Amino acid sequence: MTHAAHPPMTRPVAADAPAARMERVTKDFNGVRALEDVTFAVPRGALVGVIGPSGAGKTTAISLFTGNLVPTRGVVRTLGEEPLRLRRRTRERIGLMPQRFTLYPELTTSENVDFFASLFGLLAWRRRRRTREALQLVELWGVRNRMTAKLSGGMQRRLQLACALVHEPELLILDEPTAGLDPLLRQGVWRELIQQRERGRTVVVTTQYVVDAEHCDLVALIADGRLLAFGPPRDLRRMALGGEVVQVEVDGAWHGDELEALAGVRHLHRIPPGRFWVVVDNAGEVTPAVVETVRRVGVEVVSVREYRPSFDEIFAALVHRDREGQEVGGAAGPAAFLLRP
Amino acid sequence: MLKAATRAFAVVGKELLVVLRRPSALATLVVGPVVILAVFGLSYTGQPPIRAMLVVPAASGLPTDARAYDLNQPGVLQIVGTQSTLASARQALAAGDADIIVAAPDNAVQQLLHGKQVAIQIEYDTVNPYQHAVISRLAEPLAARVNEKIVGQIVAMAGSQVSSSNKPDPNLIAAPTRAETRDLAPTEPKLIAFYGVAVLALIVQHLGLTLGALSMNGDRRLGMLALLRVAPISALELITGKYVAFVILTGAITGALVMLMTRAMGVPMLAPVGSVTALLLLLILASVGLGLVLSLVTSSESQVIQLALLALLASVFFGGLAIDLSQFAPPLQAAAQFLPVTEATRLGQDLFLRGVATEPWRFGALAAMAAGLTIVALVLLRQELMRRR
Repeated sequence: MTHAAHPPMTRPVAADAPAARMERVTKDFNGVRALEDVTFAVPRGALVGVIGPSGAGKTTAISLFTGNLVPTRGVVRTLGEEPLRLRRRTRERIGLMPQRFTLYPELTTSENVDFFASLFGLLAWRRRRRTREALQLVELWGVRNRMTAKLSGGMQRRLQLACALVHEPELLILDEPTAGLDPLLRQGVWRELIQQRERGRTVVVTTQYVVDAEHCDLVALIADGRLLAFGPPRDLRRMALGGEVVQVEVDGAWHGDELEALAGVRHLHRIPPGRFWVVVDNAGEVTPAVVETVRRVGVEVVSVREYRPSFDEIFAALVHRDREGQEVGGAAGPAAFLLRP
Repeated sequence: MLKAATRAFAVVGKELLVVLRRPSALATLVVGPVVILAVFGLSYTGQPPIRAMLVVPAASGLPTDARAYDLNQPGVLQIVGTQSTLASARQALAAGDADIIVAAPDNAVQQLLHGKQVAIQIEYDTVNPYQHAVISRLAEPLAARVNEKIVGQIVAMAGSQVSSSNKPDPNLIAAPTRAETRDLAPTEPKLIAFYGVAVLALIVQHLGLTLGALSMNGDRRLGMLALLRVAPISALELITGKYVAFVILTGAITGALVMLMTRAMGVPMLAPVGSVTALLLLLILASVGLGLVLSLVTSSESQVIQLALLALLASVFFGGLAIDLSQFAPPLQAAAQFLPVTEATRLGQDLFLRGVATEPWRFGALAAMAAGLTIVALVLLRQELMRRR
C-alpha cells in the first residue's frame, strides 16, 4: 500500500475512556446464544483484533458496537454512547466495513467512494481530495473509472476499505477485511490498518485468520460465543501454556525432579524418553538455570529452547481448554494436545 | 440414459423445493392474479345504459312524460327525464346526470305547417370513442321516436288546425325531422388520443413504482442498510434523495413520451403545460411512493417484482384503461380510485382532450395519495433503519 498525504486527526482523544466497550454482554437469536457474557474494552488508539473461527460470534460482537444489533443482556458503549442512540456527529466519527460486499456494482470505483464520502457529509472540495487519497491509499486510483462489478474480489475488499476510510473516522470497525485475500494482499491490508492506528485511529477488526493476532495490540479470542481470552498477543501464549515454556531434550535416563525445584518453574511435563516441557514465569530468566541444572546432574543436553507455538496452536489450545472446562489463563499448564510429541 | 434422467430429475426436485419452500412468493404468484380475476368477474356489471335526457318545450305540444319516448331497450338506453329547455338539459349533461340530450324544437308543428323541416338536436359530451360509437348508434332511434311523436301530433291536428292554405309539403310529411348531432367535447373522440393518454398514465405509474420498489430492495440486497444505519444519514434525507432521483428520471422519460404522443401521434394537448406537468408530477410522486412502500413491506426482490406486476395487472383491469370504470360495481369503482393511475387517466384525458379538468377533485386525490404514500414510506424506512435484532 502506498501512503497518501493525510492530515493529522484533529479530534481530541481522551486517553482514559475506551473507544468502545462491552460489559457482560449476552446476545441471543431466537433462543440460540451467539455471545455469552462477553466483556472487553477497545482503548482509544489501539488496534484490536476480534479473532475466532467462522461462526464464533465475531460479527455479532462488532455489530453490537455499530448498533446493528442490540444485546440481550449487558452494556455496550461506542465512543461513549449507546450504539442504538448514536448522535449524528458521533456517527460521523465511525467508519464501518461490513463483512459482505456492500458497494454499488453499477458505480465506478471512485463514484462509490464519493458516495460514501457524501453520506458522511464531506463537502465537494474535501470529498474530491479525500476520494483521491483513499483510492491512492488502497492502490485503486489507477482503476478509479472502472465499474465496481468488474473489480477482482481483492480489489473490491480494498475499495470497501477505502469507503470506510474516506471520511477519516476516529473509530474504524472492520468485519473480515482480509477474508478471501491472498497472503500478499492480507499483509497489505494489515500494513494499512497499522498505519491507521499510528495516525491515532482506533481500529477494531475481526478475522478468522488466527495468525493475524500478531498484528494487533490487543486480541479478543472468541469461540462458540465465548470470550476465551483478551489481551496483548504475547499474553495469549502465556494464557495458553500457563506461562512460558522451555523445551528440554536430554540424552539419558533422568526423571527431571531437579527442574521442578528450580525457582520460577511452575510445572514440569515429562514426555518420555528424555523430553521435558518446563513451564516457567519468564523463559529468558529461567533457561540458564535449567541448562545448569541438567549439566549438574550429569545428563547430556541435546537441546534447550523456548517453545513459541503459533497463534493457530495457541487458539486451538485455548479452545480445547475452554471446552474441557479448565480455566483459561489459569495455572493448569499447557493444554494436553500441545504436549504431543 | 439413467444418469441423464437422474440429473434432470435432480433439477426438477431442486426447482420444486425452492418454489415450495417460499410459500409467500408462491402465494403472491398464484393468489394475486386469481384474486384480481375473481374481483374482476364479481364486480363487472357490463356497459351501463346510455342515459338520455329529452328536451320537450312546453309550447311544443309533445308529451312530457319520459315513458312516452321509451325505446324499450332496457340495459341499453334509459330515458332519465324530460326538461323544458335545452339549457337545463345541458346542465344535466355537464353534471353527468345524462349522457345524451335529445331536444325537440319549440314549435315543431308550426314549422312543419310553414313548410320547414324540423331539426331534432342531439347533443352529448364525450372524448371516449367507445361511448361515442354507442351514443351515435342510439341517437337515430331516439330522434325517430321524437319524430314519431311530432308526426302523431300533426296527424291529430289534421282537419282542425290544418287548412288547405297551410297544408304541409308531402316531402315534409315523409321526413318531417332531421337529426342534428353534436358532440360538445372540444376534440373528436379518437382511439389513439383517448387510450394514448391512459397508456401514458399506466407507463408512468409502472416506471415510478418499479424504480421505487427496486431501489430499496437493491439497498437491502446489497446489505447497504447495515451501513446506512451507522452512517449519519436520516430516513428523510435518504427518501428525499430517492424521490428527487426518480422524479428526474421518470420525469425525463415522461416528457419524451408526451412529446412523442403530441408531436408524432397527433394526440391533442389542450390544457396548459403547467396543468399537465402538475398532473404528471403528482402521478410520479404517488407511483414512486407506492413503489417505496411495497419495497419496505416486502423482504425480497422477487416478492416486490411480483407485487409490482400485480399492481400493473390491477391497473390495467381497474384503472380505466381496458374497461371503463362505469362497467364495474360501485364498491370496485370506489376502490379503484386508490390507484394513482385511475385518477391520472381521468385527469389526463380531460386535460389533453378537453383542456380542463372536469373533476378537479382528482388533483386533490392524487396529491393526497402522493403525500400519504410518502409519509408511509418515510415511517417504514425510519422503522427499517431503526430495526435492530
